[in-house]
Amino acid sequence: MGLSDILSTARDALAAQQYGLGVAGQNVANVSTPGYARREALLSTQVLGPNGGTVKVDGTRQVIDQFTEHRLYATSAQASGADQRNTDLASVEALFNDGQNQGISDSLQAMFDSFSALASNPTDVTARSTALNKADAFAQKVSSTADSLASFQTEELNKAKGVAAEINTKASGIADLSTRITAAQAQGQDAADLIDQRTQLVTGLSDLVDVHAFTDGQGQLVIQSSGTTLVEGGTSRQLSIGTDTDGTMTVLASSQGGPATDVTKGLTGGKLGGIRDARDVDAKAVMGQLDQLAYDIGTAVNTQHAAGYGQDGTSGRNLFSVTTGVDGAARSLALDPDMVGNPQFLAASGTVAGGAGDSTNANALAALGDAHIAGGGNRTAIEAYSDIVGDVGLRKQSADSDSKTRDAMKAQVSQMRESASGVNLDEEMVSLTKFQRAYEAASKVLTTADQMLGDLMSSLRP
Amino acid sequence: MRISEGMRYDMVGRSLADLSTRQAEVAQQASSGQRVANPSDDPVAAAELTRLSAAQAHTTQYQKASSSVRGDAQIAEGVLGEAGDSFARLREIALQGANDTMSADERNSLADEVKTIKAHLVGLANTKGSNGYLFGGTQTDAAPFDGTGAFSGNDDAHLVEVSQGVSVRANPSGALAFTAAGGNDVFATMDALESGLRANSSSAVSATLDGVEAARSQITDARAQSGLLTDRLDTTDAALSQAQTTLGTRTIAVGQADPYQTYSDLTRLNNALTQAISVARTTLTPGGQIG
Repeated sequence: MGLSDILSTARDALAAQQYGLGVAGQNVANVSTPGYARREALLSTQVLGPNGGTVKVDGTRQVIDQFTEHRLYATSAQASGADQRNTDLASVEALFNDGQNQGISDSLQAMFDSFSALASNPTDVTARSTALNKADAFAQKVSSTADSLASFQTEELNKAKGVAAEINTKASGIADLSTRITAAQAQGQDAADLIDQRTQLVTGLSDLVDVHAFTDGQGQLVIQSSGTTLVEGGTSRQLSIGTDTDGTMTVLASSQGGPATDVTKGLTGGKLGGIRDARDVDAKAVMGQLDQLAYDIGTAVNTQHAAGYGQDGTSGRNLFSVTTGVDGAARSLALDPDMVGNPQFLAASGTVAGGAGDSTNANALAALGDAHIAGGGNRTAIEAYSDIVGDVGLRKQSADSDSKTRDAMKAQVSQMRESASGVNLDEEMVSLTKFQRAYEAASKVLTTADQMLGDLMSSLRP
Repeated sequence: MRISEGMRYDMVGRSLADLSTRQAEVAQQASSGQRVANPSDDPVAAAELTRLSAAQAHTTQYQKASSSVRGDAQIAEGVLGEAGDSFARLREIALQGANDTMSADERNSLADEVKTIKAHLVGLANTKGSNGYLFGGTQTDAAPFDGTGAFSGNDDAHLVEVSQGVSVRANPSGALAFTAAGGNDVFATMDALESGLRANSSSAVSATLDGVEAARSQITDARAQSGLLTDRLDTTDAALSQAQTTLGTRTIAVGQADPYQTYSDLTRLNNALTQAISVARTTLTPGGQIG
């Protein structure tokens, strides 16, 4: 090896150590960048050619554990789905928070108690107006609670549309980046930054919808969600939100210009899944129970009321206007139009000949409060309502604990991912020092070789 | 395990967030005194609290009903007591009138007194209670007795539920107290006494003595019935206020936070939070790195 060879070895060494310093610098710079995977400088020994034995830079490598990365997508979809459901259910729970006097139970009990008061004083004008007012207040409370539930469902649907739009943007962004990555790699360029960007998008996507990511035989990134392929290499499909005939939310997937497939059933996580669960599983079930309760109470009170006689001696009047079926009974529960403003029509008397002080039917109406008129004939009205409160509480509680469990699982996988790909500043300090020392040594080699050349030149001078 | 910067911050942040969430929950319990702020805090307790609160309202309604019935029973007791007193005087009049030594004028003035007493008694029998005329059965909107003492009401009971499954008759029976339905038509007896006196017939007056005595005991019996009702209401009222207390105790047991437990939890969490913050400070100081 000649002196000039030493010079070129030192040159390569300086370049390589500088490159290493640069990579460590990048890592330090991106220590708090979310989704950043740390890089390693790839150095190797030049084996062939006149410069054999010197160092050569092969580029950088991202330290990524594909398995952990994909596991993270799946767990974060589940975590954000459970979190979304839990957060959204809080507004349903608030509607049934009787402890804070926000529920139906007060007005329900007040209605039956006003029937008792009417039975005590059937001729008292105030007792009659009070009974009619309390019945009206109960009907209004039920229908306003049901209205709030319905508008909750509408809000959830709008929210789902927003999420779907976000999913579509991210999916096409991923497809776009995949195309650019393939092109960059084909030209031998470093695609690490693009890959980081894409990873970020996939991570964001996994917050919105369940994500199953893998690389196919051609090295293309494939993302499946809701049982359909959302992104395949450079192409993506779009999700759209609609409703079924019975108001259930539907998710359709379609490629540009292609036919749409219903993927609602496959939806298992992400914000979209959480919204669907809160809307079409929880709120729907609660609405069903409320409808049943309103229907049971409304029909039982009507039947009893129709059996009695008002002060005008007429019987057969309904107190409430109730739907013929259970569906929608809660939202439309109201005082019968004939009864509005007519407390004298309240059927307190049991017989047409009964005197003004006859309160047989008022007693029977009041007794409905303790009768098993709800829950399939097994529960009193207030018991059936307390069952709804318990059910709502259980739903929120299980959503809460589910959310905590999923979050812990996500945290664990996230730690695994961070452990593999995250930046450790201590480590970077060591590698900075290592490259710095090597750089110093290489420059020493350069000066030494230069000095030797100088010595040689001066000794050759005549 | 390799520890990256992200993990370090994440771990510290997560445990701090976790601790402060729990601390906030306990602080809320401590300040509100309620263990169940939302149904999800304890669904079973929330459902029970709903039923308890309804049962309390229900018991309050029973108490109101009972107090209204009691008012009427007391009015009836007073009215019938006064009617009984009047009959004590009628008995004296009948005894005096049956005495052969009495003059026609004296008998006539006694007859006038009987007439006055009858008018007063008709007025008493037409007394109004909380719910209209008290002694007319369910005919509460028209006076059950006319000036002659003829009865136009009925004997239908006005039943009021004063406790779970316990209904009492709130209107005292005017029919049994004053009319032939009770065995003796009180006003007809008085008419007979008056006409005997006016006819100046000691034998006719003496013949009414049994009737007067029977009418008096009939009214006294009716009065006793109202007294019994008041006694019965005393028992149900005691049971109702006992029930109210039990429901209140149960509500506290189910829904309220144990103050000692809450306080000790709060202190413990406050300490834990303080410690966690100082640990976080140490962990996150840049001194951890070389340099």
